[in-house]
Amino acid sequence: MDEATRIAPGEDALTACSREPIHIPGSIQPNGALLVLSEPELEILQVSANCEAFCGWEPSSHPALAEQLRSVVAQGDPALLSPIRLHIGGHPFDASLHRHDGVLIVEIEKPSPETLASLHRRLQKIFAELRDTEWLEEFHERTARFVGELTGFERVMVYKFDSDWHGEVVGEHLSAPVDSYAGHHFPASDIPTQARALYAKSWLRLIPDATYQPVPLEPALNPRTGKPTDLSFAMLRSVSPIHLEYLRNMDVTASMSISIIVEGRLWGLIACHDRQPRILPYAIRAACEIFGQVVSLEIGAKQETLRLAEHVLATKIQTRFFDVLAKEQNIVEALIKYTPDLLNFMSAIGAVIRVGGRTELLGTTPNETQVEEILTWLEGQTVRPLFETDSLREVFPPADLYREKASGLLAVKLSRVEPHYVLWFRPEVVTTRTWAGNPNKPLADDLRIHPRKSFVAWKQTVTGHSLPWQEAERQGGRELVQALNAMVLRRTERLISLNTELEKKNTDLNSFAYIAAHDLKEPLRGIANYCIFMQEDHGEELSQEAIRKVETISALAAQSEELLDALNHFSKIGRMEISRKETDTRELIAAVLTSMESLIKREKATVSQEGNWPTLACDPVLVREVFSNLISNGIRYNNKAEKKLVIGVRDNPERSDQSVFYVQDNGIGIREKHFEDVFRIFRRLHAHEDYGGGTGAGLAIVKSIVEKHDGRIWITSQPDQGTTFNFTLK
Amino acid sequence: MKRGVLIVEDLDSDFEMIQRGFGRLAEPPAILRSNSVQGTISLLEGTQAEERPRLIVLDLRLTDGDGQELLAKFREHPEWNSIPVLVWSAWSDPLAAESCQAQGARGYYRKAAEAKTARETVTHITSHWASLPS
Repeated sequence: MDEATRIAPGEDALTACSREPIHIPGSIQPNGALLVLSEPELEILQVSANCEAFCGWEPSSHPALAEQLRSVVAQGDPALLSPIRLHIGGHPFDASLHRHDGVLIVEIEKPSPETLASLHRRLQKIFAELRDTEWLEEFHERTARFVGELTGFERVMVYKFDSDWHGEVVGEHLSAPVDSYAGHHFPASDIPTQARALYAKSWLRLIPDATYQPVPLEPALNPRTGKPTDLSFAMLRSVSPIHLEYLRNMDVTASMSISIIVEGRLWGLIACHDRQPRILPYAIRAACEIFGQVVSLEIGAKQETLRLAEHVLATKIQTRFFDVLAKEQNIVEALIKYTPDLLNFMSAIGAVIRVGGRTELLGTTPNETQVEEILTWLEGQTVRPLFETDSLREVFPPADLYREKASGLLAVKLSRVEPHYVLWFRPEVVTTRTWAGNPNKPLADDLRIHPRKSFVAWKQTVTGHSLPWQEAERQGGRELVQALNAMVLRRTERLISLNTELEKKNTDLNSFAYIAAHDLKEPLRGIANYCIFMQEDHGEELSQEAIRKVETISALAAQSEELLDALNHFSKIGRMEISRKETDTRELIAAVLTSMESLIKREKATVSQEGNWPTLACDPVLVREVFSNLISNGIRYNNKAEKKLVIGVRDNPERSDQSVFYVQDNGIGIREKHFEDVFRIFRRLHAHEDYGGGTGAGLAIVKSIVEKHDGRIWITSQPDQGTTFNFTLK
Repeated sequence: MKRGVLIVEDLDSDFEMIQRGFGRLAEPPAILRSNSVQGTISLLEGTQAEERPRLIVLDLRLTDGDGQELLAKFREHPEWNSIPVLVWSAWSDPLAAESCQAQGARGYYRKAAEAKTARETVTHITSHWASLPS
């Protein structure tokens, strides 16, 4: 993040600060003395320049000191055993020891009578109170008050970092008429990166007097390593001069900060200020450290509870929404229908649904063109499984134009490959959200301090942002994708299942037709045979009438057999797998006409051809049947003196790679209302004997063959003027 | 028993049709009947050379199997493979006719319900008897 863009001009001091290596200052604050010793020999490596003055230590007295230290170190981790009582030159001192980076650091301070034991009841009491505090505002107030009362600092603030490391004062306790910063925000640069890194490791830092002169370590570098000593965990560490200036600008002389670390991240600080110098004995510092750790745990627990409550609520809304969606068939229609829920469960003011090239805008959104631009830009972003921002213009600058409507964007992609999206928009929110919603109190004007200037700079950066997306909402977005995909999957499964059923039914039907055709023929033939026997054996006994009737029975049986044969043929075609071959249709037509020569001649019909006959992939045997049936119909259903047929092929105006074949006659024509009917099996529009008889299966077979080729067939006709059958073969 | 015609047919009315046909000939032959593959084999095995039929009319749809099995059996048998076999079946599959003739059938005739066709077919079949060498 480029800090420079966030600060008003004239505050370069703050940016320079972030690059300073504050953990290796090479000097200490003067309220104690510091020794750097080697391990395990405990030899002197470095010593603070004030050591002799502060505690009377001198190189010759070191062996005695080392002896005391050695017995301590032998018992275990020196940090855990601190503080220890040391005697130097006959005087008692308190010492804190810790190991870091290969050396043992000893910090010596004036002895104090107070022990942690005397504070333990106060700690217990505040811990119980904090646990019972539900509201975070009250929690932070109590936190600040406890530290204020324990330490005596004039101003104690609970300072919380946001995701960009800007800070807000969420709790404050004043014990003097000093300025209040409650509710104020501070930019990230006020506590620069390396400071925050340090604060996340150590729990407490103290500057008893910001006007101090730093006391250098001698020698400046560790003589064994040639490198400066890391004083991250040394209470006496000297701090950055820039920070000291910052404090002085704020009229702060003594400063302490206690880290609040939640889930491994620096959540914030308990920051303490006083206009006067203030030294805290070890016991109080230790109590503050413990307090900071417990507060951290409590905040973590409360955050979790809040997150859970939000999650439960969001889940309730989502579940209701998804239940309702599950009953819908069409995704887009469903989302549009339930727009209010769609917006509510994401706490959004507008949404966009883009599915299958169709874009729907719901609620309050940027206009169509702007939405198109966003969608185009999104295509280039990673949206897996979702994309979110609470400041769209930061990642997509043109969005600045409509930041009022769309500062926050959460987008989910419905398909891995296709550009199907659902987008939610949130409006710009100019103030930062706080749990307690403290109103901003105006500062007194005669304070010419950094915080005031920092505050102004912060306010400017908060435009163009929406309320941030919560995990519950991200989860909601993911679940919507899943719900929609499940809908699509269900539909696909249903289609597959329907298809399978259909195929099975077709197979069953075909088998049935086949079996029926054969088994039924036997009794039919039996009927016909017995008619013959009747006539042969009893012809003389029967009247003419009776004989005619017997002949009728025989004819009906013969007709039934014809129908069964047609049905059998039709079902056979239905069961066939077509085998496509590259076929020259001109040759095919020639073969058909040759085989129908006698019929054509007998009926005195003229058959002409037109068009460019293509070569295409089709099943030649089946296509021949199509043409023979159509030609035969054209000839038979014709009462003109001169029967004329035209067989042709033309291009399909709608599809350039497709040919349309046609058989046109000048016959009796078909009424439009029968256009569908004629293709039904056994459906003849005429009496049995008319137009040369026929089972009415021919066209059903033709249609079946055309459809097996993935083509379609349709009729154009004028009653009494003629009919044209048109069909495609792919 | 004189050598006559063996009719392999399981449907009574079809059998009667063809039987009447043979009955109308100038010199009607003796008629033997079986209605199954197994029955036909047993019958033939049980006849002496002088009783063996001179002509066989064979239906393909038999109670216990396909008549083509019999065609195969006749062909293999040294004493039966000289008897001409006429297939008379309702099976309309064109390939069936080819298959039967490839297996040694002398002719393939289709059964029909339509009276005129049926009568003509019977006439064709029965005329084979008259044209057999004595």
